[in-house]
Amino acid sequence: MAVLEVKHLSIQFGGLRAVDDFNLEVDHNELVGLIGPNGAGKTTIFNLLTGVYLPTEGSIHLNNVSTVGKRPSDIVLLGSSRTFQNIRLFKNMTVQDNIKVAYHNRMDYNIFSSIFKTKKYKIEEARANEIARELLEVFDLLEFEQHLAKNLPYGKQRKLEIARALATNPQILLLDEPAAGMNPQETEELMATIKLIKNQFNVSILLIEHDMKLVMGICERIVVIDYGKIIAKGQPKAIRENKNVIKAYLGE
Amino acid sequence: MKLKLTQLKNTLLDPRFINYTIIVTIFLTMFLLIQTNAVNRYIYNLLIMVLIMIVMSTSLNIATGFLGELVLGHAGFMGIGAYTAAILGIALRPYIATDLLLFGASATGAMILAGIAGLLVGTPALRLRGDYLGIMTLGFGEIVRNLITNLSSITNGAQGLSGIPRIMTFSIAFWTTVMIVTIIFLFMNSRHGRAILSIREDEIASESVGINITRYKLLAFVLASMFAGIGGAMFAFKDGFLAPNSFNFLKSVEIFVIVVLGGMGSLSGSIISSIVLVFLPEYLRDFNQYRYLLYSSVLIIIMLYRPQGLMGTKEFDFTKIKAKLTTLVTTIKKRLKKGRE
Repeated sequence: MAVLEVKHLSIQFGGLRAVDDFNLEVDHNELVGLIGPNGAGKTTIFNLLTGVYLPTEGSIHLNNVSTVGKRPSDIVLLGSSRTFQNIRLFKNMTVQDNIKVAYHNRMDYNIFSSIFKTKKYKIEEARANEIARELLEVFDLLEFEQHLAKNLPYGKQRKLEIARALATNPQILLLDEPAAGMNPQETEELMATIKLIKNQFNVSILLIEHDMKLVMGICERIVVIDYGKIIAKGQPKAIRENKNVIKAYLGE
Repeated sequence: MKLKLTQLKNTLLDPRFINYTIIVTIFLTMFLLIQTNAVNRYIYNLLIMVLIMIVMSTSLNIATGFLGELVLGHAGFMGIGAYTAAILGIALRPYIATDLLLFGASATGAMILAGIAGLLVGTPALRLRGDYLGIMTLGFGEIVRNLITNLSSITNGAQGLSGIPRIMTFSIAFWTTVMIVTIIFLFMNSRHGRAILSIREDEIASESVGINITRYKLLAFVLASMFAGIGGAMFAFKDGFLAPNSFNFLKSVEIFVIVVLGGMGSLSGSIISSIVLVFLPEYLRDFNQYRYLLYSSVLIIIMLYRPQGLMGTKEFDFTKIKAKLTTLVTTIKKRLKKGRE
């Protein structure tokens, strides 16, 4: 059964059709890559999927529930979570608190519990700390638990953003250029991390990336778009030899 | 016997116990000073004013410091609270003899009405951001002041409302303030408080991890106005007299300045700067008009050299003083050693 089902998705900005008849199905625990030249509409698709933009046409279903017209925060509750092309962390909060903010909806105590520090508050907070610790351990960030997020090195900030996205307990993770600005060594490390997430957290992953080594290395299936339209779909090997793709990237 | 001693030691070193002890000690010292008449009437009034400003600035800190929105109409909520409490206080005086109960009942009414006002203003206002929200809240503050001036039948208009029971003692003011600051502190350390902080840090990211930002912005705004209502109630019972001009734009700015100076997002910063900014102008009275020059110079200098405010986003913690002092001493020793070499 498909976790994410997108049909005939289109969005029009004035005279520009930024995404045109985009179709996609992502199965449970599948890793799909979304690639295309600059300005092809990849991030626009992410913004449509996460509810930032309202599509002009088409439908999006997450676990058979339509997400069109829902707020971004409600779509998160339905089981999707994302990272951003330019890192968006809560910079002046600790690494631990970054995770705990994302864990917000999985905690259950009201304002009065927090003011009176009830048993429920203590139990829930302790559990949140525990989960945060477990997540940070997976990402090798545990030693930075009490550091401010802005003081982490670049590669670790990327990792923290992914960890934060996972803390919402998603079924599908949308990664927007996770390797942007990374050196080859960091990219290598990131590839290992993504594989680990997929296996350990049992999530589907849809990722946008320009680094071909990463895309070809870990994606099970690739969708290529250009000018908002799908120009190719398939296994990495087939995509590499596809004439349309080569044309889109290198020109005639 | 030995077990009991270690237990006692643990309780004594418990941070919460230390904080409680310090609060009670401060209270008892002040109380004794007042009882023995070491503090005159003038300073006594200033002390209560400090406590009121602490309530006003810590409550504004929820909206401005923690949520990060520019709010320039806090005196409006204070005015609503003050007049509500005053009218309730006058009406309830014959039925409630105890000062504390009378204050409790009136302050609850003030809190509720100010909260409703916060909800009504916040719902449309929080669609705006930054300067625009600032202008809108500023307008709200002026509307409240004008309403109070013109609703003569209820508020006695520009002549001012008199005959309010003067029940605001130091003890009531002190414990109300402690209660409010504690509630704000505990609230900010919960999942709700973290959600509000995350909105300040990055609204888009906050929404992308499932925080309902509209709801939490409104919650922060309403809480801030509710506590401002209580601050107003304290103010109403202090002098027994209220005039609409006490809640003008300058008052809003004064509260805002306290928050910025103390550090946006630091409750202890607001407390410290409330104390400084209430006492400083009073002690500068000898300089006549020049005191405003000095007052603004202090603000400019602090903003130039410490733009994040006195405390930044940090909290002052009694329990960490010892550890801080030890590190300070070791660094000084190291530097001295380096100097010798």
